[in-house]
Amino acid sequence: MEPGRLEVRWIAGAEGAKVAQTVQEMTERIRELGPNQKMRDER
Amino acid sequence: MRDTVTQLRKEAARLLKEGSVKYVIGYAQGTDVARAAPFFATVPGQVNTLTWTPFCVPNLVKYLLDFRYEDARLAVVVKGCDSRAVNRLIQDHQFPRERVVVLAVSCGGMLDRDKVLAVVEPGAALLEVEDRGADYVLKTDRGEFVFEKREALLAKCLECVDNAPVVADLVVGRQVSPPGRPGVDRFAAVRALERLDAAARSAFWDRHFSRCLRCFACRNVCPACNCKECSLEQAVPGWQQGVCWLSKRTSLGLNHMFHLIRMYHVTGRCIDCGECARVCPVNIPLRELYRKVAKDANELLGMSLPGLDPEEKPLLTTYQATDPDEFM
Repeated sequence: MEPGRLEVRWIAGAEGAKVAQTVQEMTERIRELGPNQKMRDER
Repeated sequence: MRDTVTQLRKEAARLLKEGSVKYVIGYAQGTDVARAAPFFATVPGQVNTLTWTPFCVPNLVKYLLDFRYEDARLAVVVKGCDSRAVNRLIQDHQFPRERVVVLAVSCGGMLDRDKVLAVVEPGAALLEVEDRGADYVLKTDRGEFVFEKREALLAKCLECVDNAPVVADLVVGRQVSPPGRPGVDRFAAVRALERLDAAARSAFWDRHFSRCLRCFACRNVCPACNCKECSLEQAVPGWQQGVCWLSKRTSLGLNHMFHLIRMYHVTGRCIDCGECARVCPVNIPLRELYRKVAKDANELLGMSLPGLDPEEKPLLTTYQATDPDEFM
Protein backbone atom coordinates (compact mmCIF):
# COMPACT_ATOMS: atom_id res chain seq x y z
CA MET A 1 0.00 0.00 0.00
CA GLU A 2 1.41 3.43 -0.84
CA PRO A 3 2.47 5.63 2.10
CA GLY A 4 -0.21 8.02 3.31
CA ARG A 5 -3.14 5.66 2.92
CA LEU A 6 -3.03 4.37 6.46
CA GLU A 7 -3.15 6.55 9.52
CA VAL A 8 -3.52 5.74 13.21
CA ARG A 9 -4.85 8.45 15.54
CA TRP A 10 -5.77 8.14 19.16
CA ILE A 11 -8.80 10.33 19.84
CA ALA A 12 -10.85 10.40 23.01
CA GLY A 13 -14.64 10.05 22.92
CA ALA A 14 -15.01 13.67 24.02
CA GLU A 15 -12.94 15.08 21.17
CA GLY A 16 -15.62 15.24 18.47
CA ALA A 17 -14.10 18.20 16.68
CA LYS A 18 -10.76 16.39 16.43
CA VAL A 19 -12.49 13.37 14.83
CA ALA A 20 -14.11 15.59 12.20
CA GLN A 21 -10.90 17.45 11.47
CA THR A 22 -8.83 14.28 11.22
CA VAL A 23 -11.33 12.65 8.87
CA GLN A 24 -11.49 15.73 6.67
CA GLU A 25 -7.72 15.94 6.39
CA MET A 26 -7.44 12.25 5.66
CA THR A 27 -10.20 12.42 3.03
CA GLU A 28 -8.47 15.24 1.19
CA ARG A 29 -5.20 13.39 1.18
CA ILE A 30 -6.82 10.20 -0.09
CA ARG A 31 -8.59 12.13 -2.90
CA GLU A 32 -5.21 13.22 -4.19
CA LEU A 33 -3.95 9.62 -4.11
CA GLY A 34 -6.97 8.37 -6.07
CA PRO A 35 -8.76 5.04 -5.62
CA ASN A 36 -6.94 2.26 -3.80
CA GLN A 37 -5.84 -0.52 -6.13
CA LYS A 38 -4.79 -3.02 -3.46
CA MET A 39 -6.99 -5.85 -2.20
CA ARG A 40 -9.85 -4.87 -4.48
CA ASP A 41 -10.21 -8.11 -6.39
CA GLU A 42 -12.77 -9.55 -3.97
CA ARG A 43 -14.90 -6.44 -3.68
CA MET B 1 29.15 -35.88 15.38
CA ARG B 2 29.27 -39.56 16.28
CA ASP B 3 29.77 -38.74 19.98
CA THR B 4 26.68 -36.57 19.96
CA VAL B 5 24.57 -39.30 18.36
CA THR B 6 25.87 -41.92 20.82
CA GLN B 7 25.14 -39.72 23.81
CA LEU B 8 21.73 -38.73 22.47
CA ARG B 9 20.75 -42.40 22.05
CA LYS B 10 22.07 -43.24 25.51
CA GLU B 11 20.05 -40.47 27.18
CA ALA B 12 16.94 -41.34 25.18
CA ALA B 13 17.24 -45.00 26.17
CA ARG B 14 17.69 -44.02 29.80
CA LEU B 15 14.59 -41.80 29.80
CA LEU B 16 12.46 -44.46 28.13
CA LYS B 17 13.76 -47.24 30.37
CA GLU B 18 13.00 -45.20 33.48
CA GLY B 19 9.52 -44.69 32.11
CA SER B 20 9.76 -40.98 32.91
CA VAL B 21 8.72 -39.97 29.37
CA LYS B 22 6.17 -41.37 26.95
CA TYR B 23 8.11 -40.41 23.82
CA VAL B 24 11.48 -39.06 22.91
CA ILE B 25 10.81 -36.78 19.97
CA GLY B 26 13.93 -36.56 17.86
CA TYR B 27 15.23 -36.98 14.34
CA ALA B 28 15.74 -40.01 12.14
CA GLN B 29 17.52 -40.21 8.80
CA GLY B 30 14.99 -39.13 6.17
CA THR B 31 14.15 -40.49 2.75
CA ASP B 32 17.29 -39.11 1.13
CA VAL B 33 20.80 -38.22 2.17
CA ALA B 34 20.01 -34.57 2.90
CA ARG B 35 16.85 -34.99 4.91
CA ALA B 36 16.04 -35.74 8.53
CA ALA B 37 12.55 -36.79 9.55
CA PRO B 38 10.87 -36.31 12.92
CA PHE B 39 10.95 -39.56 14.87
CA PHE B 40 9.07 -40.56 18.03
CA ALA B 41 10.94 -43.20 20.03
CA THR B 42 8.53 -45.04 22.31
CA VAL B 43 10.64 -47.93 23.63
CA PRO B 44 14.37 -48.16 24.39
CA GLY B 45 14.82 -50.56 21.45
CA GLN B 46 14.01 -47.76 19.00
CA VAL B 47 16.63 -45.27 20.08
CA ASN B 48 19.19 -46.45 17.54
CA THR B 49 17.00 -44.85 14.88
CA LEU B 50 17.62 -41.44 16.47
CA THR B 51 20.26 -39.41 14.72
CA TRP B 52 21.87 -35.99 14.60
CA THR B 53 23.06 -34.57 11.27
CA PRO B 54 23.32 -31.09 9.74
CA PHE B 55 19.92 -31.75 8.16
CA CYS B 56 17.90 -31.77 11.40
CA VAL B 57 16.17 -28.56 10.38
CA PRO B 58 12.55 -29.16 11.55
CA ASN B 59 11.62 -27.54 14.84
CA LEU B 60 10.11 -30.41 16.82
CA VAL B 61 8.74 -28.31 19.66
CA LYS B 62 5.38 -27.80 17.98
CA TYR B 63 4.66 -31.51 18.44
CA LEU B 64 4.29 -30.87 22.18
CA LEU B 65 0.97 -29.21 21.45
CA ASP B 66 -0.44 -32.50 20.18
CA PHE B 67 -0.12 -33.71 23.77
CA ARG B 68 -1.12 -30.57 25.66
CA TYR B 69 -4.30 -32.16 27.05
CA GLU B 70 -2.65 -35.44 27.97
CA ASP B 71 -0.89 -36.34 31.15
CA ALA B 72 2.20 -37.60 29.35
CA ARG B 73 5.70 -36.31 29.90
CA LEU B 74 7.72 -35.93 26.70
CA ALA B 75 11.35 -35.48 25.80
CA VAL B 76 12.15 -33.33 22.79
CA VAL B 77 15.43 -32.78 20.96
CA VAL B 78 16.09 -29.09 20.28
CA LYS B 79 18.69 -26.89 18.66
CA GLY B 80 19.49 -23.53 20.26
CA CYS B 81 16.98 -21.71 18.04
CA ASP B 82 14.23 -24.30 18.65
CA SER B 83 14.68 -23.99 22.40
CA ARG B 84 13.14 -20.51 22.24
CA ALA B 85 9.93 -22.21 21.11
CA VAL B 86 9.81 -24.17 24.37
CA ASN B 87 9.90 -20.90 26.30
CA ARG B 88 7.20 -19.44 24.09
CA LEU B 89 4.85 -22.36 24.80
CA ILE B 90 5.58 -22.04 28.53
CA GLN B 91 4.93 -18.27 28.41
CA ASP B 92 1.61 -18.86 26.68
CA HIS B 93 0.66 -21.51 29.25
CA GLN B 94 0.35 -24.01 26.44
CA PHE B 95 2.61 -26.62 27.92
CA PRO B 96 3.85 -27.00 31.51
CA ARG B 97 7.59 -26.94 31.98
CA GLU B 98 7.54 -30.02 34.21
CA ARG B 99 6.02 -32.17 31.45
CA VAL B 100 8.86 -31.64 29.00
CA VAL B 101 12.42 -32.89 29.09
CA VAL B 102 14.49 -30.67 26.83
CA LEU B 103 17.42 -32.48 25.20
CA ALA B 104 19.50 -29.66 23.74
CA VAL B 105 22.11 -30.34 21.10
CA SER B 106 24.86 -27.89 20.35
CA CYS B 107 24.31 -27.00 16.70
CA GLY B 108 26.99 -25.86 14.30
CA GLY B 109 24.48 -24.85 11.64
CA MET B 110 22.17 -26.65 9.23
CA LEU B 111 23.11 -27.31 5.62
CA ASP B 112 20.90 -26.14 2.78
CA ARG B 113 19.66 -29.41 1.29
CA ASP B 114 19.41 -27.97 -2.22
CA LYS B 115 23.09 -27.06 -2.16
CA VAL B 116 24.01 -30.51 -0.88
CA LEU B 117 21.84 -32.36 -3.39
CA ALA B 118 23.45 -30.39 -6.21
CA VAL B 119 26.65 -32.29 -5.40
CA VAL B 120 25.66 -35.50 -3.61
CA GLU B 121 23.35 -38.09 -5.09
CA PRO B 122 20.09 -38.24 -3.12
CA GLY B 123 20.33 -42.03 -2.80
CA ALA B 124 23.72 -41.97 -1.10
CA ALA B 125 23.81 -43.29 2.45
CA LEU B 126 25.10 -40.91 5.09
CA LEU B 127 27.67 -42.78 7.18
CA GLU B 128 29.17 -40.04 9.29
CA VAL B 129 29.36 -36.29 9.57
CA GLU B 130 32.28 -34.34 10.92
CA ASP B 131 31.93 -30.74 12.07
CA ARG B 132 35.32 -29.12 11.55
CA GLY B 133 34.23 -25.63 12.57
CA ALA B 134 34.48 -23.88 9.22
CA ASP B 135 33.07 -26.81 7.24
CA TYR B 136 31.22 -30.09 7.38
CA VAL B 137 32.62 -33.34 6.01
CA LEU B 138 29.88 -35.72 4.89
CA LYS B 139 31.11 -39.29 4.68
CA THR B 140 28.81 -41.31 2.46
CA ASP B 141 28.96 -44.68 0.73
CA ARG B 142 29.74 -42.75 -2.47
CA GLY B 143 32.70 -40.83 -1.12
CA GLU B 144 33.47 -37.86 1.06
CA PHE B 145 32.11 -34.39 0.48
CA VAL B 146 33.23 -31.17 2.10
CA PHE B 147 30.80 -28.28 2.46
CA GLU B 148 32.10 -24.94 3.57
CA LYS B 149 29.65 -23.52 6.11
CA ARG B 150 29.90 -19.99 4.71
CA GLU B 151 28.69 -21.28 1.35
CA ALA B 152 26.27 -24.07 2.17
CA LEU B 153 24.44 -23.25 5.40
CA LEU B 154 20.87 -22.01 5.60
CA ALA B 155 20.51 -18.22 5.69
CA LYS B 156 19.17 -18.30 9.24
CA CYS B 157 22.20 -20.28 10.42
CA LEU B 158 24.65 -17.78 8.94
CA GLU B 159 22.91 -15.13 11.07
CA CYS B 160 23.21 -17.25 14.22
CA VAL B 161 25.79 -15.91 16.68
CA ASP B 162 24.50 -17.71 19.78
CA ASN B 163 23.62 -21.39 19.58
CA ALA B 164 23.35 -21.95 23.33
CA PRO B 165 19.95 -23.33 24.34
CA VAL B 166 17.83 -20.90 26.38
CA VAL B 167 16.18 -23.81 28.16
CA ALA B 168 17.59 -27.31 28.61
CA ASP B 169 17.42 -30.26 30.98
CA LEU B 170 20.32 -32.02 29.31
CA VAL B 171 22.89 -30.64 26.94
CA VAL B 172 23.96 -33.45 24.65
CA GLY B 173 27.21 -33.79 22.76
CA ARG B 174 30.24 -31.65 22.21
CA GLN B 175 29.89 -27.87 22.37
CA VAL B 176 30.41 -26.35 18.94
CA SER B 177 30.76 -22.68 18.07
CA PRO B 178 27.82 -20.92 16.39
CA PRO B 179 28.17 -20.64 12.61
CA GLY B 180 27.38 -16.92 12.26
CA ARG B 181 30.11 -14.32 11.88
CA PRO B 182 30.17 -12.12 15.04
CA GLY B 183 28.46 -8.81 14.36
CA VAL B 184 26.51 -10.13 11.36
CA ASP B 185 23.44 -8.04 10.52
CA ARG B 186 20.50 -10.28 11.36
CA PHE B 187 18.13 -8.00 9.47
CA ALA B 188 20.15 -7.53 6.27
CA ALA B 189 17.44 -9.10 4.08
CA VAL B 190 14.76 -6.93 5.69
CA ARG B 191 16.85 -3.80 5.17
CA ALA B 192 17.27 -4.67 1.49
CA LEU B 193 13.48 -4.79 1.14
CA GLU B 194 13.05 -1.55 3.08
CA ARG B 195 15.34 0.21 0.63
CA LEU B 196 12.94 -0.49 -2.24
CA ASP B 197 10.33 2.17 -2.94
CA ALA B 198 6.70 1.45 -2.11
CA ALA B 199 5.78 0.38 -5.65
CA ALA B 200 8.68 -2.06 -5.97
CA ARG B 201 8.01 -3.49 -2.53
CA SER B 202 4.36 -3.88 -3.41
CA ALA B 203 5.31 -5.68 -6.61
CA PHE B 204 7.67 -7.95 -4.66
CA TRP B 205 4.98 -9.11 -2.24
CA ASP B 206 2.32 -9.29 -4.98
CA ARG B 207 4.58 -11.68 -6.85
CA HIS B 208 5.00 -13.90 -3.80
CA PHE B 209 1.50 -13.70 -2.33
CA SER B 210 -0.12 -14.44 -5.69
CA ARG B 211 1.36 -17.96 -5.40
CA CYS B 212 -0.05 -18.62 -1.92
CA LEU B 213 -2.25 -21.73 -1.88
CA ARG B 214 -3.60 -20.97 1.61
CA CYS B 215 -2.47 -24.46 2.67
CA PHE B 216 -1.89 -23.20 6.24
CA ALA B 217 1.46 -25.01 6.45
CA CYS B 218 3.09 -21.81 7.81
CA ARG B 219 0.52 -21.63 10.57
CA ASN B 220 0.54 -25.34 11.38
CA VAL B 221 4.29 -25.49 11.81
CA CYS B 222 4.54 -22.24 13.77
CA PRO B 223 5.29 -22.44 17.50
CA ALA B 224 3.81 -18.95 17.92
CA CYS B 225 0.47 -20.22 16.57
CA ASN B 226 -1.24 -22.21 19.29
CA CYS B 227 -4.89 -21.13 19.21
CA LYS B 228 -7.38 -23.98 19.23
CA GLU B 229 -9.61 -22.05 16.88
CA CYS B 230 -7.79 -20.01 14.28
CA SER B 231 -9.17 -16.66 13.16
CA LEU B 232 -7.77 -17.36 9.70
CA GLU B 233 -9.89 -20.44 9.24
CA GLN B 234 -13.43 -19.49 10.13
CA ALA B 235 -16.22 -21.19 8.27
CA VAL B 236 -18.09 -18.30 6.70
CA PRO B 237 -21.07 -18.80 4.42
CA GLY B 238 -20.53 -17.59 0.88
CA TRP B 239 -22.92 -14.65 1.13
CA GLN B 240 -20.90 -13.28 4.06
CA GLN B 241 -17.51 -13.64 2.48
CA GLY B 242 -17.44 -10.14 1.06
CA VAL B 243 -18.05 -8.52 4.43
CA CYS B 244 -15.51 -10.47 6.51
CA TRP B 245 -11.85 -9.67 6.77
CA LEU B 246 -10.99 -12.96 5.20
CA SER B 247 -12.64 -15.86 3.47
CA LYS B 248 -10.98 -19.12 2.52
CA ARG B 249 -10.96 -18.23 -1.14
CA THR B 250 -7.51 -17.60 -2.60
CA SER B 251 -7.05 -14.39 -4.51
CA LEU B 252 -4.28 -11.83 -4.41
CA GLY B 253 -6.17 -9.40 -2.20
CA LEU B 254 -7.26 -12.05 0.26
CA ASN B 255 -3.80 -13.59 0.30
CA HIS B 256 -2.42 -10.19 1.27
CA MET B 257 -4.97 -10.00 4.06
CA PHE B 258 -4.15 -13.54 5.20
CA HIS B 259 -0.44 -12.87 5.46
CA LEU B 260 -0.84 -9.45 7.07
CA ILE B 261 -3.15 -10.87 9.73
CA ARG B 262 -0.73 -13.68 10.43
CA MET B 263 2.13 -11.21 10.51
CA TYR B 264 0.50 -9.19 13.28
CA HIS B 265 -0.63 -12.27 15.17
CA VAL B 266 2.95 -13.50 15.52
CA THR B 267 4.29 -10.09 16.54
CA GLY B 268 6.23 -10.45 19.78
CA ARG B 269 5.76 -14.21 19.57
CA CYS B 270 7.78 -15.18 16.50
CA ILE B 271 11.04 -16.78 17.64
CA ASP B 272 12.50 -16.64 14.12
CA CYS B 273 13.01 -20.38 13.69
CA GLY B 274 12.25 -19.94 9.99
CA GLU B 275 10.01 -23.01 9.81
CA CYS B 276 7.26 -21.05 8.00
CA ALA B 277 9.52 -20.32 5.05
CA ARG B 278 10.92 -23.86 5.03
CA VAL B 279 7.55 -25.60 4.81
CA CYS B 280 6.00 -23.16 2.34
CA PRO B 281 5.34 -25.23 -0.81
CA VAL B 282 5.58 -22.13 -3.01
CA ASN B 283 8.63 -20.57 -1.32
CA ILE B 284 7.14 -17.34 -0.01
CA PRO B 285 9.89 -15.56 1.97
CA LEU B 286 7.76 -15.44 5.11
CA ARG B 287 10.70 -14.97 7.44
CA GLU B 288 11.36 -11.54 5.92
CA LEU B 289 7.75 -10.56 6.57
CA TYR B 290 7.76 -11.48 10.24
CA ARG B 291 11.26 -10.17 10.80
CA LYS B 292 10.21 -6.77 9.47
CA VAL B 293 7.76 -6.48 12.38
CA ALA B 294 10.35 -7.88 14.78
CA LYS B 295 12.84 -5.28 13.59
CA ASP B 296 10.31 -2.45 13.99
CA ALA B 297 9.34 -3.72 17.43
CA ASN B 298 13.01 -3.83 18.33
CA GLU B 299 13.66 -0.29 17.13
CA LEU B 300 10.48 1.28 18.51
CA LEU B 301 9.89 -0.70 21.68
CA GLY B 302 13.25 -2.34 22.36
CA MET B 303 11.82 -5.85 21.92
CA SER B 304 14.46 -8.56 22.04
CA LEU B 305 14.05 -11.89 20.30
CA PRO B 306 10.96 -13.58 21.83
CA GLY B 307 11.45 -16.79 23.77
CA LEU B 308 14.75 -15.94 25.41
CA ASP B 309 13.25 -15.76 28.88
CA PRO B 310 10.25 -17.83 30.05
CA GLU B 311 9.31 -15.10 32.55
CA GLU B 312 9.13 -12.24 30.07
CA LYS B 313 5.71 -10.90 29.10
CA PRO B 314 4.82 -11.01 25.40
CA LEU B 315 5.20 -7.63 23.68
CA LEU B 316 1.53 -7.03 22.93
CA THR B 317 0.40 -7.76 26.48
CA THR B 318 2.62 -5.15 28.09
CA TYR B 319 2.48 -1.38 28.29
CA GLN B 320 5.07 1.09 29.40
CA ALA B 321 4.64 4.82 29.83
CA THR B 322 7.73 5.31 27.69
CA ASP B 323 6.22 3.56 24.65
CA PRO B 324 6.30 5.86 21.58
CA ASP B 325 3.00 7.68 21.04
CA GLU B 326 3.40 10.13 18.16
CA PHE B 327 -0.02 9.08 16.84
CA MET B 328 -1.74 10.60 19.88
